[in-house]
Amino acid sequence: MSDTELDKVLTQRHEANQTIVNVEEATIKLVVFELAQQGFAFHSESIREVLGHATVFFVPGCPASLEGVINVRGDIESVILLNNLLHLPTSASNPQAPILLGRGKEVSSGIRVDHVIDVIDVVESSIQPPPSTQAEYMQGLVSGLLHFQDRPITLLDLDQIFADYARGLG
Amino acid sequence: MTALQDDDSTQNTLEVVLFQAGGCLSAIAASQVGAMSSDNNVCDAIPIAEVFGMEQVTTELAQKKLELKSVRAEAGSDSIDVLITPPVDLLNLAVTDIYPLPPLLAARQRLRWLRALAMHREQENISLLLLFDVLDTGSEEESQLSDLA
Repeated sequence: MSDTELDKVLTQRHEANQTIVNVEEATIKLVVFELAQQGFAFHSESIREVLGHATVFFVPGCPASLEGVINVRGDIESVILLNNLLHLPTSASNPQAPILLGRGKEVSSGIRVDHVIDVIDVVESSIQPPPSTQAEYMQGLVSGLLHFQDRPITLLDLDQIFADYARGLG
Repeated sequence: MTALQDDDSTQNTLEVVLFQAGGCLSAIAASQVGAMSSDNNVCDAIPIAEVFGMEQVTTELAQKKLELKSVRAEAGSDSIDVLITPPVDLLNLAVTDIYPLPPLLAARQRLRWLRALAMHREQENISLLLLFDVLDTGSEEESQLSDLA
């Protein structure tokens, strides 16, 4: 039995369906925040929690960029400020400002930020590599650049930030 | 440290001597305190805030003399006399309330012999307790004890 016109059309449609390629791009989740009126982000998997209110206990003998420690459900974590490390002006002291609980491969710490802008999903291709012209002190700390809400966002490498901080930078 | 002990409730505790240093609640394991006296002859003793590398925030005259000693056998019987400002208290601190220094704090803090932190609960209040350890494994720290003595 010869194929009818309709059989041919259906066959063509069936073959076309089989050749459809999934072009959906991989996305990553970022925690976007502001520090000294500039936008930054961390990969969300490196941010365990965002704390809205936490009592920070002062520890003497520490640099000004180490605000103190917090008690997070039975764990004690340091709270650091990144302004010095990122060569940003000092933010106005605000004990109500959020603290990101960052967890790197080996080190964890709280990071005080001015405020959290959003937690977003972005396609990987929208993240540009860091420019070769960036300041020397930022090299290694920046893993990419993107735009969100018409403003530039600098994607930071949490492990490198903790490593640099531990060796006395910032 | 050697002062971990089991009490009747089977909870591990560390007996510490509690005092203020540089305006902060601080403690040393009781096993590292040789003696405490209200000796008026305190000329030979060093304010404990100075020993720890803290800024002194008190000029009170009422002070007690505390003999700090290293309990590490191979370090000998080094000891120094330090001045602390009352009140001084003895406390059994639950081991579960004692925390190692967070890594970034351990890397950046500059206090001599600060080894751990604890959350001290008193009635409704929770305060941070700085736990110092005169027993140090580094020869540099041991020589510091000798230098101070």
